[in-house]
Amino acid sequence: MRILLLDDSNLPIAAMLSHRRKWLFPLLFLILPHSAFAGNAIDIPAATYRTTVSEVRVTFFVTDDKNRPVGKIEQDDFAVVDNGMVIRDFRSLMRSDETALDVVALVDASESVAPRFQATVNDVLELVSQRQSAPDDAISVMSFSGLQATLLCSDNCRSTGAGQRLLAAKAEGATPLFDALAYSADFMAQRRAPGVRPLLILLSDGDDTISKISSRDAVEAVIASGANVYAIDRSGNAPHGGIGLQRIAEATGGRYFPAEAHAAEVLRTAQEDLRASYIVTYQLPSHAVGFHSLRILPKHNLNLQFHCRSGYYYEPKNP
Amino acid sequence: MKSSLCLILILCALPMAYAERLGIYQHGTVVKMRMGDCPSTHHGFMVAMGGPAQTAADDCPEYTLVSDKVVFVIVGKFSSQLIPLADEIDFRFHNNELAVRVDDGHESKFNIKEIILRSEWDLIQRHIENQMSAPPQPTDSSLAMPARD
Repeated sequence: MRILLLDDSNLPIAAMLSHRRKWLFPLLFLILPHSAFAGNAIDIPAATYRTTVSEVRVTFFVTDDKNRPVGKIEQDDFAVVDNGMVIRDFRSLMRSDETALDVVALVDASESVAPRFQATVNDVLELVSQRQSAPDDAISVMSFSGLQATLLCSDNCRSTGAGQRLLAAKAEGATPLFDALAYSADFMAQRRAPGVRPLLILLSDGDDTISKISSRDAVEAVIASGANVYAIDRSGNAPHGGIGLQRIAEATGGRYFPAEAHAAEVLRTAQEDLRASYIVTYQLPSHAVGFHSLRILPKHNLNLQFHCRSGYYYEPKNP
Repeated sequence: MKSSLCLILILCALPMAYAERLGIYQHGTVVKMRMGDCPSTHHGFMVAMGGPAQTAADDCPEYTLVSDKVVFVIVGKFSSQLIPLADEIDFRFHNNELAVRVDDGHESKFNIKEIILRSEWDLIQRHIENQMSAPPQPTDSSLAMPARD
Protein backbone atom coordinates (compact mmCIF):
# COMPACT_ATOMS: atom_id res chain seq x y z
CA MET A 1 0.00 0.00 0.00
CA ARG A 2 1.25 3.37 -0.88
CA ILE A 3 0.21 6.47 0.94
CA LEU A 4 1.03 9.59 -1.00
CA LEU A 5 1.79 12.59 1.08
CA LEU A 6 1.37 15.44 -1.33
CA ASP A 7 3.01 18.77 -0.88
CA ASP A 8 0.41 21.51 -0.68
CA SER A 9 2.33 24.09 -2.69
CA ASN A 10 0.08 23.66 -5.72
CA LEU A 11 -3.17 23.74 -3.81
CA PRO A 12 -5.39 26.78 -3.28
CA ILE A 13 -4.97 28.43 0.11
CA ALA A 14 -8.52 27.55 1.10
CA ALA A 15 -7.69 23.90 0.60
CA MET A 16 -4.44 24.24 2.49
CA LEU A 17 -5.98 25.52 5.67
CA SER A 18 -8.03 23.15 7.71
CA HIS A 19 -10.93 24.44 9.76
CA ARG A 20 -8.66 24.38 12.80
CA ARG A 21 -6.46 26.97 11.20
CA LYS A 22 -9.17 29.48 10.36
CA TRP A 23 -8.00 31.60 13.27
CA LEU A 24 -4.87 32.30 11.26
CA PHE A 25 -6.72 34.71 8.96
CA PRO A 26 -7.59 37.31 11.65
CA LEU A 27 -4.20 36.80 13.25
CA LEU A 28 -2.45 37.49 9.95
CA PHE A 29 -4.68 40.51 9.42
CA LEU A 30 -3.36 41.91 12.70
CA ILE A 31 0.27 40.96 12.17
CA LEU A 32 0.84 41.79 8.50
CA PRO A 33 0.50 45.63 8.64
CA HIS A 34 3.00 45.82 11.49
CA SER A 35 5.46 43.55 9.80
CA ALA A 36 5.16 45.49 6.54
CA PHE A 37 6.47 48.59 8.27
CA ALA A 38 9.02 46.82 10.39
CA GLY A 39 11.64 46.50 7.67
CA ASN A 40 12.19 45.70 4.01
CA ALA A 41 11.12 42.55 2.20
CA ILE A 42 14.51 40.89 2.57
CA ASP A 43 14.35 41.08 6.34
CA ILE A 44 10.93 39.52 6.54
CA PRO A 45 10.66 35.87 5.66
CA ALA A 46 7.62 35.04 3.55
CA ALA A 47 4.84 33.46 5.54
CA THR A 48 4.59 29.77 4.71
CA TYR A 49 2.23 27.11 5.95
CA ARG A 50 3.33 23.56 6.08
CA THR A 51 0.64 20.95 6.02
CA THR A 52 0.05 17.73 4.22
CA VAL A 53 -2.83 16.30 2.27
CA SER A 54 -2.96 12.52 2.42
CA GLU A 55 -4.17 10.32 -0.37
CA VAL A 56 -4.66 6.59 -0.33
CA ARG A 57 -3.91 4.57 -3.47
CA VAL A 58 -5.33 1.08 -3.70
CA THR A 59 -4.53 -1.33 -6.51
CA PHE A 60 -7.19 -3.95 -7.16
CA PHE A 61 -8.73 -6.25 -9.71
CA VAL A 62 -12.22 -7.67 -9.96
CA THR A 63 -13.51 -11.14 -10.71
CA ASP A 64 -17.00 -12.24 -11.68
CA ASP A 65 -19.07 -15.16 -10.39
CA LYS A 66 -17.04 -17.52 -12.63
CA ASN A 67 -13.78 -16.22 -11.13
CA ARG A 68 -12.77 -14.51 -14.37
CA PRO A 69 -11.20 -11.03 -14.29
CA VAL A 70 -13.57 -8.19 -15.18
CA GLY A 71 -12.10 -5.82 -17.73
CA LYS A 72 -14.22 -2.70 -17.27
CA ILE A 73 -14.99 -1.10 -13.91
CA GLU A 74 -16.62 2.28 -13.18
CA GLN A 75 -16.49 4.41 -10.04
CA ASP A 76 -20.15 3.63 -9.36
CA ASP A 77 -19.49 -0.11 -9.25
CA PHE A 78 -17.83 -0.20 -5.84
CA ALA A 79 -17.20 1.39 -2.46
CA VAL A 80 -14.08 1.19 -0.34
CA VAL A 81 -14.35 0.31 3.35
CA ASP A 82 -11.37 1.94 5.05
CA ASN A 83 -11.13 1.17 8.78
CA GLY A 84 -14.88 0.57 8.78
CA MET A 85 -15.82 3.80 7.01
CA VAL A 86 -17.60 3.46 3.70
CA ILE A 87 -16.05 5.67 1.01
CA ARG A 88 -17.87 6.39 -2.24
CA ASP A 89 -16.18 9.63 -3.27
CA PHE A 90 -12.96 8.91 -5.08
CA ARG A 91 -10.36 11.28 -6.41
CA SER A 92 -9.55 9.07 -9.36
CA LEU A 93 -9.94 5.66 -10.88
CA MET A 94 -7.45 4.60 -13.51
CA ARG A 95 -5.84 1.55 -15.04
CA SER A 96 -2.86 0.25 -13.13
CA ASP A 97 0.47 1.38 -14.52
CA GLU A 98 2.07 -1.97 -13.68
CA THR A 99 2.85 -3.93 -16.83
CA ALA A 100 5.20 -6.71 -15.74
CA LEU A 101 5.58 -9.23 -12.94
CA ASP A 102 8.52 -10.04 -10.71
CA VAL A 103 7.69 -13.66 -9.89
CA VAL A 104 9.00 -15.71 -7.00
CA ALA A 105 7.93 -19.36 -6.89
CA LEU A 106 8.14 -20.34 -3.22
CA VAL A 107 8.21 -24.13 -2.93
CA ASP A 108 7.42 -26.03 0.26
CA ALA A 109 10.11 -28.74 0.50
CA SER A 110 9.24 -29.97 3.98
CA GLU A 111 8.47 -33.53 4.99
CA SER A 112 4.72 -32.96 5.11
CA VAL A 113 4.50 -32.47 1.33
CA ALA A 114 6.82 -35.38 0.45
CA PRO A 115 4.14 -37.50 -1.29
CA ARG A 116 3.40 -34.66 -3.73
CA PHE A 117 6.84 -33.06 -3.90
CA GLN A 118 8.01 -34.56 -7.19
CA ALA A 119 4.86 -33.36 -8.94
CA THR A 120 5.46 -29.89 -7.45
CA VAL A 121 9.08 -29.85 -8.74
CA ASN A 122 7.90 -30.81 -12.23
CA ASP A 123 5.26 -28.10 -12.00
CA VAL A 124 7.85 -25.44 -11.15
CA LEU A 125 10.21 -26.64 -13.89
CA GLU A 126 7.35 -26.28 -16.36
CA LEU A 127 6.68 -22.77 -15.06
CA VAL A 128 10.31 -21.77 -15.52
CA SER A 129 10.57 -23.33 -18.99
CA GLN A 130 7.46 -21.42 -20.16
CA ARG A 131 9.06 -18.11 -19.32
CA GLN A 132 9.04 -17.14 -23.00
CA SER A 133 5.31 -16.59 -22.76
CA ALA A 134 6.04 -13.56 -20.61
CA PRO A 135 9.35 -12.09 -21.72
CA ASP A 136 9.16 -9.11 -19.36
CA ASP A 137 8.52 -11.21 -16.28
CA ALA A 138 11.43 -12.29 -14.10
CA ILE A 139 11.06 -15.63 -12.33
CA SER A 140 13.03 -16.66 -9.25
CA VAL A 141 12.64 -19.91 -7.31
CA MET A 142 12.99 -20.45 -3.56
CA SER A 143 12.38 -23.51 -1.44
CA PHE A 144 11.91 -23.85 2.30
CA SER A 145 12.33 -26.68 4.78
CA GLY A 146 14.11 -27.31 8.03
CA LEU A 147 14.83 -23.91 9.53
CA GLN A 148 15.03 -21.58 6.56
CA ALA A 149 14.26 -20.65 2.99
CA THR A 150 16.85 -21.01 0.23
CA LEU A 151 17.11 -19.06 -3.00
CA LEU A 152 17.61 -21.67 -5.74
CA CYS A 153 17.83 -19.30 -8.65
CA SER A 154 17.18 -15.66 -9.36
CA ASP A 155 16.07 -14.47 -12.83
CA ASN A 156 18.26 -17.04 -14.64
CA CYS A 157 16.12 -20.00 -13.62
CA ARG A 158 16.14 -21.47 -17.13
CA SER A 159 19.79 -22.40 -16.81
CA THR A 160 20.64 -26.08 -16.45
CA GLY A 161 22.25 -25.56 -13.07
CA ALA A 162 19.11 -24.05 -11.61
CA GLY A 163 17.00 -26.94 -12.88
CA GLN A 164 19.41 -29.46 -11.41
CA ARG A 165 19.37 -27.72 -8.02
CA LEU A 166 15.59 -27.89 -8.05
CA LEU A 167 15.58 -31.57 -9.04
CA ALA A 168 18.14 -32.35 -6.34
CA ALA A 169 15.97 -30.84 -3.59
CA LYS A 170 14.41 -33.36 -1.21
CA ALA A 171 11.25 -32.98 0.82
CA GLU A 172 12.38 -33.33 4.41
CA GLY A 173 12.43 -31.51 7.73
CA ALA A 174 10.12 -29.03 9.40
CA THR A 175 8.03 -26.33 7.70
CA PRO A 176 9.10 -22.70 8.27
CA LEU A 177 6.30 -21.33 6.06
CA PHE A 178 5.87 -17.94 7.75
CA ASP A 179 9.61 -17.29 7.98
CA ALA A 180 9.90 -18.18 4.29
CA LEU A 181 7.09 -15.78 3.39
CA ALA A 182 8.86 -12.96 5.23
CA TYR A 183 12.18 -13.91 3.60
CA SER A 184 10.70 -13.87 0.10
CA ALA A 185 8.85 -10.61 0.85
CA ASP A 186 12.15 -9.01 1.83
CA PHE A 187 13.76 -10.38 -1.34
CA MET A 188 11.02 -8.89 -3.52
CA ALA A 189 10.98 -5.57 -1.66
CA GLN A 190 14.68 -5.11 -2.42
CA ARG A 191 14.03 -5.68 -6.14
CA ARG A 192 11.00 -3.41 -6.31
CA ALA A 193 10.91 -1.44 -9.57
CA PRO A 194 8.34 1.00 -10.99
CA GLY A 195 5.72 -0.62 -13.19
CA VAL A 196 6.56 -4.12 -11.93
CA ARG A 197 4.26 -6.02 -9.59
CA PRO A 198 5.83 -8.53 -7.19
CA LEU A 199 4.04 -11.88 -7.40
CA LEU A 200 4.58 -14.74 -4.98
CA ILE A 201 3.43 -18.13 -6.26
CA LEU A 202 3.31 -20.24 -3.11
CA LEU A 203 3.19 -24.02 -3.47
CA SER A 204 2.56 -25.43 -0.01
CA ASP A 205 0.23 -27.40 2.22
CA GLY A 206 -0.22 -24.27 4.36
CA ASP A 207 1.00 -25.86 7.58
CA ASP A 208 3.78 -24.20 9.55
CA THR A 209 5.68 -26.16 12.20
CA ILE A 210 8.72 -24.14 13.20
CA SER A 211 8.70 -20.48 12.16
CA LYS A 212 10.04 -17.83 14.49
CA ILE A 213 7.47 -15.27 13.34
CA SER A 214 3.68 -15.45 13.37
CA SER A 215 1.38 -15.77 10.38
CA ARG A 216 0.25 -12.18 11.00
CA ASP A 217 3.82 -10.86 10.84
CA ALA A 218 4.44 -12.87 7.68
CA VAL A 219 1.34 -11.49 5.97
CA GLU A 220 2.25 -7.95 7.05
CA ALA A 221 5.72 -8.39 5.55
CA VAL A 222 4.20 -9.52 2.25
CA ILE A 223 1.74 -6.61 2.26
CA ALA A 224 4.57 -4.18 2.99
CA SER A 225 6.54 -5.58 0.03
CA GLY A 226 3.59 -4.89 -2.29
CA ALA A 227 3.40 -8.54 -3.40
CA ASN A 228 0.29 -10.57 -4.10
CA VAL A 229 0.29 -14.20 -2.99
CA TYR A 230 -1.17 -16.70 -5.47
CA ALA A 231 -1.31 -19.83 -3.36
CA ILE A 232 -1.52 -23.36 -4.80
CA ASP A 233 -2.80 -25.82 -2.22
CA ARG A 234 -0.60 -28.91 -1.87
CA SER A 235 -2.27 -30.08 1.32
CA GLY A 236 -3.85 -33.21 -0.12
CA ASN A 237 -6.57 -34.22 2.31
CA ALA A 238 -5.57 -31.96 5.22
CA PRO A 239 -8.37 -29.39 5.53
CA HIS A 240 -6.75 -26.71 7.73
CA GLY A 241 -3.77 -25.89 5.52
CA GLY A 242 -6.06 -24.91 2.67
CA ILE A 243 -7.93 -22.43 4.83
CA GLY A 244 -4.65 -20.87 5.96
CA LEU A 245 -3.45 -20.52 2.38
CA GLN A 246 -6.78 -18.99 1.37
CA ARG A 247 -6.50 -16.36 4.11
CA ILE A 248 -2.92 -15.50 3.18
CA ALA A 249 -3.87 -15.13 -0.48
CA GLU A 250 -6.93 -12.99 0.24
CA ALA A 251 -5.10 -10.76 2.73
CA THR A 252 -2.48 -9.87 0.14
CA GLY A 253 -4.96 -9.25 -2.69
CA GLY A 254 -4.08 -12.50 -4.44
CA ARG A 255 -5.87 -15.74 -5.18
CA TYR A 256 -6.13 -19.29 -3.88
CA PHE A 257 -5.99 -22.32 -6.17
CA PRO A 258 -6.83 -25.96 -5.40
CA ALA A 259 -4.28 -28.75 -5.75
CA GLU A 260 -5.06 -29.48 -9.41
CA ALA A 261 -3.87 -26.05 -10.53
CA HIS A 262 -0.50 -25.83 -12.30
CA ALA A 263 1.96 -23.06 -11.59
CA ALA A 264 2.13 -22.06 -15.27
CA GLU A 265 -1.67 -21.64 -15.38
CA VAL A 266 -1.52 -19.61 -12.18
CA LEU A 267 1.07 -17.32 -13.76
CA ARG A 268 -1.18 -16.82 -16.80
CA THR A 269 -4.06 -15.96 -14.46
CA ALA A 270 -1.85 -13.46 -12.63
CA GLN A 271 -0.94 -11.84 -15.96
CA GLU A 272 -4.64 -11.50 -16.84
CA ASP A 273 -5.33 -10.04 -13.40
CA LEU A 274 -2.48 -7.57 -13.89
CA ARG A 275 -3.95 -6.38 -17.18
CA ALA A 276 -7.37 -5.97 -15.54
CA SER A 277 -6.02 -4.05 -12.54
CA TYR A 278 -7.12 -0.58 -11.50
CA ILE A 279 -5.88 2.02 -9.06
CA VAL A 280 -8.40 3.98 -7.03
CA THR A 281 -7.36 7.02 -5.01
CA TYR A 282 -9.25 8.80 -2.25
CA GLN A 283 -8.62 11.18 0.60
CA LEU A 284 -7.38 9.53 3.77
CA PRO A 285 -10.60 9.22 5.80
CA SER A 286 -9.00 9.09 9.22
CA HIS A 287 -5.60 10.17 10.45
CA ALA A 288 -5.49 7.38 12.99
CA VAL A 289 -1.87 6.27 13.10
CA GLY A 290 -1.23 2.59 12.46
CA PHE A 291 -2.94 -0.12 10.48
CA HIS A 292 -6.02 0.73 8.42
CA SER A 293 -8.07 -2.28 7.36
CA LEU A 294 -9.24 -2.22 3.78
CA ARG A 295 -11.98 -3.89 1.73
CA ILE A 296 -13.57 -3.10 -1.58
CA LEU A 297 -17.20 -4.13 -1.91
CA PRO A 298 -19.71 -3.88 -4.74
CA LYS A 299 -22.33 -1.13 -4.79
CA HIS A 300 -24.78 -3.04 -6.96
CA ASN A 301 -23.64 -6.39 -8.29
CA LEU A 302 -22.90 -8.76 -5.42
CA ASN A 303 -21.44 -11.30 -7.85
CA LEU A 304 -18.37 -9.13 -8.28
CA GLN A 305 -15.43 -9.88 -6.02
CA PHE A 306 -12.82 -7.21 -5.51
CA HIS A 307 -9.26 -8.33 -4.76
CA CYS A 308 -7.01 -5.94 -2.88
CA ARG A 309 -4.68 -6.14 0.08
CA SER A 310 -6.29 -6.17 3.48
CA GLY A 311 -4.87 -2.92 4.75
CA TYR A 312 -2.08 -0.39 4.96
CA TYR A 313 -0.08 1.48 7.55
CA TYR A 314 -0.48 5.18 7.98
CA GLU A 315 2.06 7.31 9.73
CA PRO A 316 1.94 11.08 9.29
CA LYS A 317 4.82 12.79 7.63
CA ASN A 318 7.08 14.57 10.10
CA PRO A 319 6.88 18.38 9.91
CA MET B 1 -46.65 -29.71 -12.03
CA LYS B 2 -45.73 -26.55 -13.92
CA SER B 3 -48.78 -24.71 -12.68
CA SER B 4 -48.05 -25.55 -9.04
CA LEU B 5 -44.45 -24.38 -9.50
CA CYS B 6 -45.73 -21.12 -10.95
CA LEU B 7 -48.13 -20.76 -8.02
CA ILE B 8 -45.31 -21.24 -5.52
CA LEU B 9 -43.16 -18.67 -7.31
CA ILE B 10 -46.02 -16.16 -7.36
CA LEU B 11 -46.69 -16.71 -3.65
CA CYS B 12 -43.02 -16.18 -2.86
CA ALA B 13 -42.85 -13.01 -4.91
CA LEU B 14 -46.07 -11.52 -3.51
CA PRO B 15 -44.73 -10.17 -0.18
CA MET B 16 -41.94 -8.28 -1.93
CA ALA B 17 -44.23 -6.97 -4.65
CA TYR B 18 -46.67 -5.76 -2.01
CA ALA B 19 -43.89 -4.23 0.04
CA GLU B 20 -42.73 -2.24 -2.93
CA ARG B 21 -46.23 -1.22 -4.09
CA LEU B 22 -47.37 -0.21 -0.62
CA GLY B 23 -44.25 1.86 -0.14
CA ILE B 24 -43.24 -0.11 2.94
CA TYR B 25 -39.58 0.19 2.11
CA GLN B 26 -37.62 2.83 3.91
CA HIS B 27 -34.44 4.22 2.45
CA GLY B 28 -31.02 4.63 4.00
CA THR B 29 -27.29 4.70 3.43
CA VAL B 30 -24.66 2.37 4.82
CA VAL B 31 -21.92 4.57 6.28
CA LYS B 32 -19.91 2.02 8.24
CA MET B 33 -19.14 -1.65 7.86
CA ARG B 34 -16.98 -3.95 9.94
CA MET B 35 -16.62 -7.64 10.67
CA GLY B 36 -17.75 -8.57 14.18
CA ASP B 37 -19.13 -11.41 16.21
CA CYS B 38 -21.89 -13.47 14.69
CA PRO B 39 -25.24 -13.76 16.45
CA SER B 40 -24.59 -16.32 19.20
CA THR B 41 -27.68 -18.45 18.52
CA HIS B 42 -25.94 -20.14 15.61
CA HIS B 43 -23.10 -21.42 17.75
CA GLY B 44 -24.75 -22.01 21.08
CA PHE B 45 -25.54 -25.66 20.55
CA MET B 46 -22.20 -26.53 18.97
CA VAL B 47 -20.23 -24.74 21.67
CA ALA B 48 -22.34 -26.32 24.43
CA MET B 49 -21.65 -29.76 22.98
CA GLY B 50 -17.92 -29.04 22.85
CA GLY B 51 -17.95 -28.47 19.10
CA PRO B 52 -15.68 -26.14 17.18
CA ALA B 53 -15.37 -22.69 18.67
CA GLN B 54 -16.01 -19.60 16.59
CA THR B 55 -13.08 -18.63 14.39
CA ALA B 56 -12.16 -15.49 12.48
CA ALA B 57 -13.79 -16.98 9.40
CA ASP B 58 -17.07 -16.97 11.31
CA ASP B 59 -17.04 -13.19 11.71
CA CYS B 60 -20.21 -11.60 10.45
CA PRO B 61 -20.63 -8.23 8.76
CA GLU B 62 -22.00 -5.39 10.87
CA TYR B 63 -23.44 -2.37 9.10
CA THR B 64 -24.40 1.11 10.30
CA LEU B 65 -27.43 2.10 8.25
CA VAL B 66 -28.47 5.76 8.41
CA SER B 67 -32.01 6.79 7.50
CA ASP B 68 -33.82 10.13 7.90
CA LYS B 69 -34.92 9.68 11.49
CA VAL B 70 -33.23 6.55 12.78
CA VAL B 71 -29.83 4.87 12.60
CA PHE B 72 -29.66 1.07 12.70
CA VAL B 73 -26.71 -1.14 13.54
CA ILE B 74 -27.49 -4.48 11.93
CA VAL B 75 -25.55 -7.75 11.92
CA GLY B 76 -25.52 -10.46 9.29
CA LYS B 77 -26.08 -14.10 10.17
CA PHE B 78 -23.08 -15.48 8.27
CA SER B 79 -19.73 -14.14 7.08
CA SER B 80 -20.61 -13.63 3.42
CA GLN B 81 -23.96 -11.88 3.98
CA LEU B 82 -23.21 -8.69 2.09
CA ILE B 83 -25.29 -5.62 1.37
CA PRO B 84 -24.63 -3.74 -1.85
CA LEU B 85 -23.03 -0.49 -0.69
CA ALA B 86 -25.11 1.66 -3.03
CA ASP B 87 -25.68 5.35 -2.26
CA GLU B 88 -29.16 4.43 -1.05
CA ILE B 89 -30.66 1.07 -0.16
CA ASP B 90 -34.21 -0.09 0.59
CA PHE B 91 -35.13 -1.87 3.80
CA ARG B 92 -38.14 -2.77 5.95
CA PHE B 93 -38.93 -4.34 9.30
CA HIS B 94 -39.82 -8.00 9.21
CA ASN B 95 -40.39 -10.07 12.39
CA ASN B 96 -37.96 -8.13 14.56
CA GLU B 97 -35.39 -8.24 11.80
CA LEU B 98 -34.39 -5.80 9.11
CA ALA B 99 -35.01 -7.03 5.58
CA VAL B 100 -32.68 -5.29 3.14
CA ARG B 101 -33.39 -5.40 -0.59
CA VAL B 102 -30.17 -6.68 -2.14
CA ASP B 103 -31.42 -6.72 -5.74
CA ASP B 104 -34.72 -6.59 -7.61
CA GLY B 105 -35.77 -10.07 -6.61
CA HIS B 106 -34.30 -10.70 -3.19
CA GLU B 107 -34.19 -9.50 0.37
CA SER B 108 -31.54 -10.34 2.95
CA LYS B 109 -32.53 -10.40 6.63
CA PHE B 110 -30.32 -8.99 9.36
CA ASN B 111 -30.44 -8.98 13.15
CA ILE B 112 -30.92 -5.53 14.65
CA LYS B 113 -28.18 -4.79 17.19
CA GLU B 114 -28.92 -1.15 17.96
CA ILE B 115 -31.43 1.52 17.06
CA ILE B 116 -30.42 5.14 17.67
CA LEU B 117 -32.28 8.34 16.92
CA ARG B 118 -30.64 10.14 14.04
CA SER B 119 -30.34 13.37 16.05
CA GLU B 120 -28.47 11.57 18.84
CA TRP B 121 -26.26 9.74 16.38
CA ASP B 122 -25.37 13.03 14.66
CA LEU B 123 -24.39 14.49 18.03
CA ILE B 124 -22.15 11.50 18.79
CA GLN B 125 -20.53 11.72 15.35
CA ARG B 126 -19.83 15.44 15.80
CA HIS B 127 -18.24 14.70 19.16
CA ILE B 128 -16.05 11.99 17.61
CA GLU B 129 -15.04 14.29 14.75
CA ASN B 130 -14.08 17.03 17.22
CA GLN B 131 -11.99 14.55 19.16
CA MET B 132 -10.27 13.37 15.98
CA SER B 133 -9.54 16.89 14.74
CA ALA B 134 -8.12 18.05 18.09
CA PRO B 135 -4.33 18.53 18.12
CA PRO B 136 -2.59 15.29 19.00
CA GLN B 137 -1.47 14.97 22.59
CA PRO B 138 2.18 14.12 23.26
CA THR B 139 2.52 10.39 23.69
CA ASP B 140 5.04 8.08 25.21
CA SER B 141 7.52 7.46 22.38
CA SER B 142 8.07 3.90 23.56
CA LEU B 143 4.53 3.15 22.37
CA ALA B 144 5.07 4.57 18.87
CA MET B 145 4.58 2.13 16.03
CA PRO B 146 7.33 1.56 13.50
CA ALA B 147 6.78 3.07 10.08
CA ARG B 148 5.57 0.72 7.39
CA ASP B 149 5.12 1.06 3.66
